[in-house]
Amino acid sequence: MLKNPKVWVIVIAAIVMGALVKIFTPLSIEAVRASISFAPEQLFAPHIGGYVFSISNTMCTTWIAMLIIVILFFFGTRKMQLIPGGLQNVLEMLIEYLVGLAESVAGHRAMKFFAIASTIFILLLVSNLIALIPGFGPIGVIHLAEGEHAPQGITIIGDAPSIFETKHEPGQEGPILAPFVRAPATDLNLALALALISVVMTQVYGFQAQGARYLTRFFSFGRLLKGNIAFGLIDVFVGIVELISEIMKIVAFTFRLFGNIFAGEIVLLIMAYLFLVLPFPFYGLELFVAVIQAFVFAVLTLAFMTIASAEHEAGAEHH
Amino acid sequence: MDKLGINIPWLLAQLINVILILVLLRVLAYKPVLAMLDKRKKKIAESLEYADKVKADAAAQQKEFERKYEEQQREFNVRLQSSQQVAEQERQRIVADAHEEALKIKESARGELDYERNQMVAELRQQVIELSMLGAQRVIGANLDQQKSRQLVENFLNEVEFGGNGQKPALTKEGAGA
Repeated sequence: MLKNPKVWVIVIAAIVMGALVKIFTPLSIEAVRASISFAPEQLFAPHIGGYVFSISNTMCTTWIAMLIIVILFFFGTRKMQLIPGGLQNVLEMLIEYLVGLAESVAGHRAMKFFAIASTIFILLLVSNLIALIPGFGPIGVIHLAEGEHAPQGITIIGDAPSIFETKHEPGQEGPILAPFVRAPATDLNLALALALISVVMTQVYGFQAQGARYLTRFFSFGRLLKGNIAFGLIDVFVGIVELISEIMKIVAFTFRLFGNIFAGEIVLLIMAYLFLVLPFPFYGLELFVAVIQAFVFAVLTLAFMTIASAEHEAGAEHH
Repeated sequence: MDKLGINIPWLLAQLINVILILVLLRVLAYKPVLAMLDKRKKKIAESLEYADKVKADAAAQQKEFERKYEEQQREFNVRLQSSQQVAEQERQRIVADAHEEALKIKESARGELDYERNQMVAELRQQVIELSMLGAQRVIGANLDQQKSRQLVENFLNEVEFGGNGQKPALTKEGAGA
């Protein structure tokens, strides 16, 4: 496929288009503070039945990604045919690739871990890629403080309905543009949710494969109680290290994903501020990072689950 | 935590999102696609098996055909040889028959020849007898005793071995001497 010149033309065109839009994003909204914030921006917060539902832009993007996935797979697998064509073929290739990946990492346990790892991969892949679709960055909601005016140089499409709660507090340097679409992986909540599911399910599979013996990975007093003090203490220490490493896995998963995608967004923004054509190579890089991060998250999940299910193997963390 | 944007409601919402998409993908993607892949795998395996069977059948048929062909060839050769033998025997028989026939014909021809010769010799003898008697009558001028004179001539002829009993012909004394 990579030898096909047509494919290269499309890829290069996509990169150029994306870079162009990213370039013009900050220029047109100079009056607005560039939105670099760890926390996702709140788009609106409808009051329903006495509760306030705060909806962030990353949440919206996650839903868009989910919708795209569901639509793709719904139409792709609606009328499955023995001789595949078009969308069915592409989706089958993807699933087959993921099955192969799971089998290469987890061996005979592959199909057990397949669903979670593949879901993580597909969700992250789609959500990372749609965040790179040009044109969404500059469209969003600006929350104005009392008596504040919308800055010049931006087009106001309409007033936000009064059910939206403004987040902006007076005294800040200016209104914040909250884009409608922000990469879901730049929301620590999503990254943490994925990490929690991955690590918790790893423990579940560990118990399933080894039963209560799985606990000896963390609490190993066998040799200490037999009187072997030196090695017993080492076992206890190793158990503590294992326990800490499980917790650190959550942190590592979360911040690896968040850091890579968030940094990518910022790099594109800063490069665009510095010089017009500078984001071009970085846009290609970010496409690469978007795929790689989805892949890494899925493969690490598979690897950890395999290690936890395997009988008494070294549980060293692989990065 | 607040600076990082982590809060419990959003975290729970994202957890629900992930679990929801997990369930949806299971229903929409993994189940049907894996089932289809499995089905196709089975189908391909079946087809390959069938192809192998057909191939094996064809090979067996080919072998059978070749075996039969060889058998027929061998049979044909045997028949050819035996018929050649028969033909040879027949030829020999015919030749032998022909030989025999020819010999027979030769034999009978010789017999006939002998018979004719004897006949002729006997006739000649008769004539010689009559001529000599006639000659003698003329010389003597009288009728000889028919019976006695015939006896005399015959005795003479026997003396010169002019016989009618199938012996070597000796018409004259000179002829006999030669």
